[in-house]
Amino acid sequence: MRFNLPKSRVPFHALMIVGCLLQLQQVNAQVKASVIKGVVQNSYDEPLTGVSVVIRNTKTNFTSGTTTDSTGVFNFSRISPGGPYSFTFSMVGYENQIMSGYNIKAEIMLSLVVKLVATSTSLDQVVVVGYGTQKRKDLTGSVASVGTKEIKDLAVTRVEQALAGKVAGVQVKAVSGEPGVAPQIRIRGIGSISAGAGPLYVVDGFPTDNIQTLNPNDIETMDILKDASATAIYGSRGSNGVIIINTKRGRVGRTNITFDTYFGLQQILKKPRMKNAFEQAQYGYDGYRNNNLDAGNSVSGPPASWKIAVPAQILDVLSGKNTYDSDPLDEILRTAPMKQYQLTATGGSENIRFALSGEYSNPEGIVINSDFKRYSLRANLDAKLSKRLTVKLNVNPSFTNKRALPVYTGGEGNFIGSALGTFNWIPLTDSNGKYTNEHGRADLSEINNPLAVARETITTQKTLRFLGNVNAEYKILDGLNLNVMIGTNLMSIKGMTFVPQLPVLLNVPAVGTDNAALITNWIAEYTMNYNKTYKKHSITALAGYTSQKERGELNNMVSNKYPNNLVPTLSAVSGLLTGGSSDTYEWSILSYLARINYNYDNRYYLTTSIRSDGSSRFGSENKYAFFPSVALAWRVKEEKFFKNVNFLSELKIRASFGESGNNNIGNYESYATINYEKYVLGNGAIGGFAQGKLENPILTWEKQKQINVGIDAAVFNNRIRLTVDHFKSNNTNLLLSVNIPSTTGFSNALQNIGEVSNNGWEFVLSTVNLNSKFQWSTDFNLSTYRNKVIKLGPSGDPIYTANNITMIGQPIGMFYGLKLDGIFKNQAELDKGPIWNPGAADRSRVGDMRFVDVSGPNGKPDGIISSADYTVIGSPYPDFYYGMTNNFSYGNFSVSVNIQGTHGSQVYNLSRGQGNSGRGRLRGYAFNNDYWKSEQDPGDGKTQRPNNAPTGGARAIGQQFMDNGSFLRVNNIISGYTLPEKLSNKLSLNSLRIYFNATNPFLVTKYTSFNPDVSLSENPLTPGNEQNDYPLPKSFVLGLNVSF
Amino acid sequence: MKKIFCLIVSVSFFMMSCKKDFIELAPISSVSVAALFKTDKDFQDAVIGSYSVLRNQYNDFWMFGDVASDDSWKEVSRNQSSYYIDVFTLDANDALLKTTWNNYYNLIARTNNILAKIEKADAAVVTNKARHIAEAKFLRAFAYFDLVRLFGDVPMITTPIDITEAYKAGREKVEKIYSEIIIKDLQDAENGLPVKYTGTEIGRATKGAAKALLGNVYLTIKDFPKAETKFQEVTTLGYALLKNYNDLFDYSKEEHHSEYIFDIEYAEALGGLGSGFTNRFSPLSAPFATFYKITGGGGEDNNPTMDLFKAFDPKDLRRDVTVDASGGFVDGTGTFVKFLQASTVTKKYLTPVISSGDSKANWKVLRYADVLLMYAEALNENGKTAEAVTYVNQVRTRAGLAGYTGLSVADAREKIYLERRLELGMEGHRWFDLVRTGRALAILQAKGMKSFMTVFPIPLGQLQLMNNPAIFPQNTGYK
Repeated sequence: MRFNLPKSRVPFHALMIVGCLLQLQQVNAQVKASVIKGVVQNSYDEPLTGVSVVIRNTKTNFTSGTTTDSTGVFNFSRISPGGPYSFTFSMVGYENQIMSGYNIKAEIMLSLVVKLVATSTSLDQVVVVGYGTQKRKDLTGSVASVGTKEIKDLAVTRVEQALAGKVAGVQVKAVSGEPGVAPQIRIRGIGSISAGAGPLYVVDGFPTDNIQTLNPNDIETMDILKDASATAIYGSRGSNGVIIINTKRGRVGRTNITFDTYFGLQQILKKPRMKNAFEQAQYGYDGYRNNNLDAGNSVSGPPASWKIAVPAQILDVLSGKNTYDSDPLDEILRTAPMKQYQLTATGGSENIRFALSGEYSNPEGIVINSDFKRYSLRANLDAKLSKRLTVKLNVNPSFTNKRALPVYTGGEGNFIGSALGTFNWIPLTDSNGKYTNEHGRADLSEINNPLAVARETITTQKTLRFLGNVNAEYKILDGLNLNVMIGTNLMSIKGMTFVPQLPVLLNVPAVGTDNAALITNWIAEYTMNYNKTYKKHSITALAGYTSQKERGELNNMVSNKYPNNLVPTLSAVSGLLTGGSSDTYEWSILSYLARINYNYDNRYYLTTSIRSDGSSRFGSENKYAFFPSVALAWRVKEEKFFKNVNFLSELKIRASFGESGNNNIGNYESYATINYEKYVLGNGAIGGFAQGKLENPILTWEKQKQINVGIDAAVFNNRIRLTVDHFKSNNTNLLLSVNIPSTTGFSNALQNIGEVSNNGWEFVLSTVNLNSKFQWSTDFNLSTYRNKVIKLGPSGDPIYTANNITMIGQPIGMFYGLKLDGIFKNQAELDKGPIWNPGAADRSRVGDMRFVDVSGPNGKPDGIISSADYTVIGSPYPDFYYGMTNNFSYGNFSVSVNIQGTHGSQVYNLSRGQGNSGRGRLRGYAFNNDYWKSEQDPGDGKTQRPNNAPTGGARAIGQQFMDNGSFLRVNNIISGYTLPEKLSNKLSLNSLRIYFNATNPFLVTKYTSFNPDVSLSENPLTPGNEQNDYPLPKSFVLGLNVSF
Repeated sequence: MKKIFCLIVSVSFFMMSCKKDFIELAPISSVSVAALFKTDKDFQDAVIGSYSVLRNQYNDFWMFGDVASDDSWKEVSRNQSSYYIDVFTLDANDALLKTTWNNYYNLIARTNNILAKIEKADAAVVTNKARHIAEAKFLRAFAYFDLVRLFGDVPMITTPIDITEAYKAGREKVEKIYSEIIIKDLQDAENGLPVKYTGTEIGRATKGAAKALLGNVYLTIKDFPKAETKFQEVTTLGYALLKNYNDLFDYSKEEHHSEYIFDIEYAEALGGLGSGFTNRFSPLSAPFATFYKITGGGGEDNNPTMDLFKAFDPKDLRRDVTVDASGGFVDGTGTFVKFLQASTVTKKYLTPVISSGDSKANWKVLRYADVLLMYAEALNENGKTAEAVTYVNQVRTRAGLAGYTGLSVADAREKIYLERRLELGMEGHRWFDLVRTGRALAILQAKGMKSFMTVFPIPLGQLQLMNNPAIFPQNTGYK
């Protein structure tokens, strides 16, 4: 016998969605006692394990809780007859369900079948916004969410990695494969030139800029505030976007203990094809030959006796005397294991709930001697101390130990670069295991032996962190709550480096450093919430006050007075330090905030907020900042004329405007502080000082104004959902170092003067493609942004930074150099020009690159290639970037595939400098093997000739070093299998799940080096540069979740 | 339960301070400049802070002093300041000019700050008040002397100024700067500075340095009688030539010897207080670097010319250390190893270097042989040729050469000029000597010099910032 729920407090509109899924079965049976049994299922009729079920008699205040077992069954025995009873069902990732109004008769067995609706398909999903929560359907701003479902099984070390490819408007760049290193995150373009462009993180209410120590498995939800109406409530810290992270909390019911572990193996994702020994030797030989020809020397005799002689090592390879041919990159790369173990206990009663977890994570690096370990604990407690008072406690101590890439002290490039640059004919060790010295060789530029650097040097950093807060919520009246939160973030960092004195490292005296930092940060926050619904009017109001302060104490010591290599710590130098300092800084922020959310009849929404920030960082004449916002939404679907359009599940139009800021302007930049200077007197160092900068009492935060319009639509019972957002932001008062007349004693001063704009589109399409026993759903997102510099310093001069230019009318940091136009294949082409450095020794010759004659000293093309021909030669920014996740499941099997890609970006590939400039003094990439050899044999017609003394501007900044940065990467393929309950029960387990995860299994790109998703530094002025970055790994991981 | 809540509330309130103070946080590990210039030590430290500017500026000074002249050239690569300055195509936007201008005005601002602050200081508290003033004035005059010789007319700043005032500071006549600052400052300096320092004070400007510099100033403005007086005074201060010329460039020996008057001080392994000369002037040759223990190798930036090599008498003991024209070197096994590219090298700054660009080699600004030759020049111009020749011969004798006798005033002038070139080659004097004595154009025309190029262009960035050609024009001839 089936019937609809007799009584419900679920509002009617919610029932529309939920009602058909929520069923109740009552089964008659022979009954001797009052027993309530039931099964909880998802919308695909699969049993749900671990659902918390609470029964409550509203009259007698009797309460009891339990959780469902692996078959989804729950059971209450010995329930006193009477009522009314209510049941509450809750589970992460699912909508809470309350069923009330049950009067239990004596001697009856009540059997319930309850269906829970997954939150991700629900408009009632709770979204965490700044200082509060909202239901997704009530959102007026642009907020994206990522939940446990998207995070689990990813086998990532850093929380940020879980966002890759998942959220529109959030560009997650996997810039380094170094274990424990975060990807770079940019939300809605780049809004700052010099003050940092990374988002603010808020962990369980605690604002911080560093989540290095957070365990991804502890995360319940991540909500990304994108538009300014959402971020304005974070004021002067909101303009780069805000990522709110809430961790898992305990639920009422049986204690659930789970053990999670994975083990995987990692390898380099993409190894570039470098020249083998013979190819390289031939390239080098031809380079010496061309060098002699250019210099007018004869090349008729034996190459070893040419005026510019070919080094014997090259000739040995060509003649077959030396046949050693092995890629040195293989010597520093390895198959590296990664593993994680986690034990979690959750549960609790009505009054006390807990979530406890302990984790050990250890991804080793694919480059030898790099490693990352994290040990973390978390305890989240929720205590209902009285009817009015609820206290939440979050405690998260953690310890990380990182062995980083070695310090590189000598020669060109860096450590990875030295492995890329060493020729295949040079063994890194001899037969006795002794390191080959790569200095003082005629065939090779001065570099350090990478193996010696990796094995003999030490670079470690340890971080001990405690993040904790306590939150008390006091219910003053119905609908009026006072919240008090106090929290702290303590961090202690300790690092050291040591480079021993070795002949193979140029015999430089051993040098060691030791650094330590202690950072204490605390917050106190008071917020008052008010909720009131009156007829069709619904209002939520928030007012608050928050203050936060940080103090950092840092010191470092350096010495190169080691007596030997035996002891790497500075204890060995007998107190003879050669450098060191100790610094303390502080900053504080004090804010008032208020917000009102109003809606009429769930149709018309208005949100308005204001925040005022006072900050120690602002100049004395600009101490306070105000950040207002307003947003409107119209749920068209709720209008009468749409009520009967049944296929339409949701239609909402949103518009917002807000202001936020960026206060990463330095702690003391407004003060005329001094610099400590040194000079040599009496042959020793003596300290002094000088004024370091001019005072700037009007120094202020960077400001952002943003407009956002969006539409949310869903059809066919939410099976197809679409969200489109368009934003336009304008960032002003950007901090720039402005040139001033040097007669002041300073050549520049920091002023709030720059302006940039960003605008872009975001599309999110989610579909449930198949919804039967075989299920298939797809989430797709695509984003664009266009960045433009509006204003720079007083004269508007561009900012030049190596290979990038930041100029008005262009995006920040475009590539700037010479435009390439093939090569001079023959004399006739050369005669037409244009010529690099005509008349000089390094002038253009046949076989050299031909650049585009853009201009000349008089503003007109002059047939000469010079710095006047520098122009914008490419963009580090993609036309668009996208991500897609496909989830498949059949019975106990599930498969999930996540891809991520960008299109249209370029990379300035500095590590090509060695292989693409013609000079064969370091190993080059093999892609230019088909180079120009003679007028009769011009190779592929676009690759210049090798030349030991490069001519024709081969080493100038130009398109010859640029690569296509577009790529499509499969981030994950995860397949999982849950053991049938019968089997797991036999093993006396609640449930057992195994999964296999292939991380980064495929990369499609034309990029020539390791990883096209580059960013050499955090500096917004130099995007898209690559220089021997730590290669990205791919990994194959086997994981296990066991629940007891 | 209410109690717990009240406790939490009150604890958190306790943590908060008074609102106004809460966001007023002054620097902890630095200090506002306003808090300083109180004690004697403060002023002493500020003077050290002024000297430190010279350490940066003189790392590149050889480009002006030698590469621009006929003594040195940028032989190999062709895209650096040192190449452009060699062939007289240095752009007004070149970084060398920009940093030079910035460095000198930075030094001037630092000394102006000291002089402004010390004025009201109580001499009972600031016990070395007179010396601090003298030192600051020496350094300010030093900066202006270089500035007017490099750029001609420049803004004359004698007090601390703000940005608004800086925009009004136009270029002043060279003559005015000589008469109102350089000479006056140096006169104050020679009176206030001690003859000699000991211990950890060695390296500071002395009375002798101030007098020698003032003599050079008079020589430059062709006031030969006053120059003669100053140099004569220097000869009474106890300086003497070293016996062996090559000892001047032996860095295993003390650099503050009897011939030393004023150096820009560098020292190795003190965390960035070394000079770049050894690396930058060495050839790009790994065997050379290995043999001479020069970490980081050579930059080949300052190659002495064959013209300079040929100016030496083959017997001249100064030749081989000034110019080694063999195009290579003899290694430990006695084998001659050829340089890959460079054909000459100067060995005046050759010393083992532990980390690249961190050489112990000082830059010699004033040494006694220089003073003797300037003294000779002044005497000769004042008609005292015979006396002048005795000082030239002191220098020649040490170099293993015969002395001159019976020279006319004109002959003696040429011989003194030549002697300066040989004695002080690759020490940053040649360009200034050629310009000072009016011979630059004739000698350097072949390299591309034009008549207006006796001064360098004003940095383009400063012209654009000032944007006021009426008071701040570019030097004639430069775009």
